[in-house]
Amino acid sequence: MENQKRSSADHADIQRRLLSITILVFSLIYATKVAFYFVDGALSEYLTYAGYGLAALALVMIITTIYWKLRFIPVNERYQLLSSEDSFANAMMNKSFKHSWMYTLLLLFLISSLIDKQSSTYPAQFYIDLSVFLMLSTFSLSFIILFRVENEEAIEGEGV
Amino acid sequence: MNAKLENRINVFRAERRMSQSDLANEIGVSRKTISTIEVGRFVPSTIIALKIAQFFEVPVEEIFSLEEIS
Repeated sequence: MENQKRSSADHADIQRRLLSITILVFSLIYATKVAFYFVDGALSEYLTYAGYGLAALALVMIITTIYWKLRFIPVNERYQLLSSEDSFANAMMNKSFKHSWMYTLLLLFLISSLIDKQSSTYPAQFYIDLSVFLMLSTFSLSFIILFRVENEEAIEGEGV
Repeated sequence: MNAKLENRINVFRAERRMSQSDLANEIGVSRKTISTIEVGRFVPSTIIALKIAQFFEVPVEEIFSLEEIS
């Protein structure tokens, strides 16, 4: 495979993986925002720097993901390759969206039923950041796990 | 009735001395899609199943079949 030219469909798969990693980085930005509520002093300063670093990484990842799409996937094939359920990557992406939606809804139900508006220790922003973190991290990790090569023997080299 | 989709893609590929990448390029999908269909991890859409059968010039039932699971 490495010696062969990748097809547009293979590039679409790579673009999907890049997108999932980009979303994972965004989830980590929200994780640092949530962590701010639990730390103070020097740790809080480290978190600020970590947040800046992650934001820079997220920017690089966004640019790379968009570049990959524009550079390697022809315009006339883009809709078919990135939207159709014919591709394993797209099917796994849709499955990951379902997981993400399900766990986020569960968290929102928990927050809604367990946290009293009057007595809550944390402000509403904390719960919003927590929900966004869970939503993004569940999606990206779910996709990375579902997409991984489960059986190396199934991925054959050239020449059968 | 529980059923699993079995396939003989690797047999047809071997007969034609094709790699997964070659078949993927012919069908217009990624190699990962072909490899996951072969091991039964991904159930292909009707369109992809028909494209594979068309490419090998056989009825779709010769490539894909249902196996009953008890």
